[in-house]
Amino acid sequence: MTQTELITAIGETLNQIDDMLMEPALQNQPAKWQQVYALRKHLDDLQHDLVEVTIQADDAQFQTLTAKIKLATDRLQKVIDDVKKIDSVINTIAQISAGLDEILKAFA
Amino acid sequence: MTIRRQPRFRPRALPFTLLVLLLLGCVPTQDYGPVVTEFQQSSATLAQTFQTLLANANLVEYEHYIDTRTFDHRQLAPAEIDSRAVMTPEELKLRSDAILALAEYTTALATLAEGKQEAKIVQDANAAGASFSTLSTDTQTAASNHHLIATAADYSGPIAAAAAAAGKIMGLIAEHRSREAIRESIEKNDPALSALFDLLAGESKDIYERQKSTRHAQGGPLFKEYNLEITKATPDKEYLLGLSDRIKQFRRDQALIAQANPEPAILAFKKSHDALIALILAPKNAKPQSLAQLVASVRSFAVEVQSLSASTK
Repeated sequence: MTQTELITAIGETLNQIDDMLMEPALQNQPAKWQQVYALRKHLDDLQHDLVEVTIQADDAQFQTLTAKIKLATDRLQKVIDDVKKIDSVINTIAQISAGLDEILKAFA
Repeated sequence: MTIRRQPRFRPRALPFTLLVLLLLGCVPTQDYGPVVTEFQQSSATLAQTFQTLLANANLVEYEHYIDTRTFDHRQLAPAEIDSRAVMTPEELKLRSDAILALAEYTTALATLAEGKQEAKIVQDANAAGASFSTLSTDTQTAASNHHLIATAADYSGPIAAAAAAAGKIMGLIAEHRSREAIRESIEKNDPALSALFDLLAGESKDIYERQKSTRHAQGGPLFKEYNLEITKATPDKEYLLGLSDRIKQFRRDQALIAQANPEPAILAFKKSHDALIALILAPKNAKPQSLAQLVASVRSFAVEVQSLSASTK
C-alpha cells in the first residue's frame, strides 16, 4: 500500500462512518452514536496528520502496518451496514485508528 | 523616381523557420493548429482550476474545524482555526507555479512543433524558462517554512531536475540552435519533467481525498440535529428550515466533490505532453500516426479538464 492508497482507505472508512452517523437507527442509540462520533473525530485528526507527512512506501514496517489496517477495513466493510453489530463496528474502527496511530508515531 | 522598398532580409529567420518545419516534418499545419489551441486552453484552465483546489485545501480544514467545535459546543479561537492548515502560502505557490511552469513548457513545445511564428516560439520558450526559474526559487522559500513537506528533498529534487532539463531545452530553442541539437536535447532532458507530473498527480490525489473526507463529515451532525429537533414538543421551525437548507447544500456539495479529483486531469495532461514529444521526435513517415495520437490525447485532456473545472465552480 502506498501513502496515497492509505489516505484513500482512511477516507473511505470516514465516509462509511459518516453514512452511519446520518442514519436514524444509530441516532436512536445516543450513547453508541456519541461513541462512533468520538472515534470518527480521532480518525479524522489522524488522517489530517497523515496528509502532512511523507512516508516511503517501500519501507517494510510501513507495509506490515498498512497490511493490518487493510484487514481491519475489510472487516469493517462486512459489518458497517448492520446496526445490530455496532459493537463490532466500534471495535474495528478503534483497531484502524490504533494502526494509523502506530504509523504516525513511527514515521511522522 | 519611386524605389520600391524590399522586405528586410533577416539572415537567421530562414534557417530557423526551416528548422521548425523540419521538426514538424510533414504534419499538415491546418490539422495541427486547432490541436495546439485546444491543448493551450486546457493547460491554462487546468492551472487555474488546480490553484482553486489548492486554495480550498486549507479553507475546508478551517470550516470543518469550525463546524466540529460548533456542534460540540466548544470555544473557537482564530489561532486554533489557522493551526488546522495543511499547507503554507509558500507551499501553495510552489504547487500552483509547478503546474503553470509545466503548462508553459508544453505550450512552448507545441508552438515550436507548429512552427508558424518565429517570434512566438522564442517568446514562449523564454516564458517557460522564466517559469521554471521562479519555481526553483519557490522550492527554497517553501522548504524554510513548511507544513506539508516533511523533507524539502521530496519536492526540491524533481523540481530542480525538471527546471534544469527545461532550461536546457528552452535555452537551445531561444538561441535558434540546430534541429538536431534541439531534438537531442528533448530526447535527453524531457524525461526529467515526467517525475514532476507524477509527483503533482499523486499529491493532488492526497489533497483531494482529504477534502472529500472533511466535506462529508458535516453529514452526521446535520442529520442528528435535524432528527433531534423534530422529536421536541414544539420544534423550532426556523431552525429546522435552516438545517434543511444546509442538508440540501451538503448533498449538492457531495455530488460536486465526487467530480473534483484533479488526478485524472493531471495524468491526461502528462499523456498529452508525452504524445507531443512523440510527435516532435517521430521520423517523417510516422508523423501522421503520431499526430492522430496527439489529437486523441488532447481531446481526452480537454474532457477531463472541462469536468474538473465544472465541479470547482
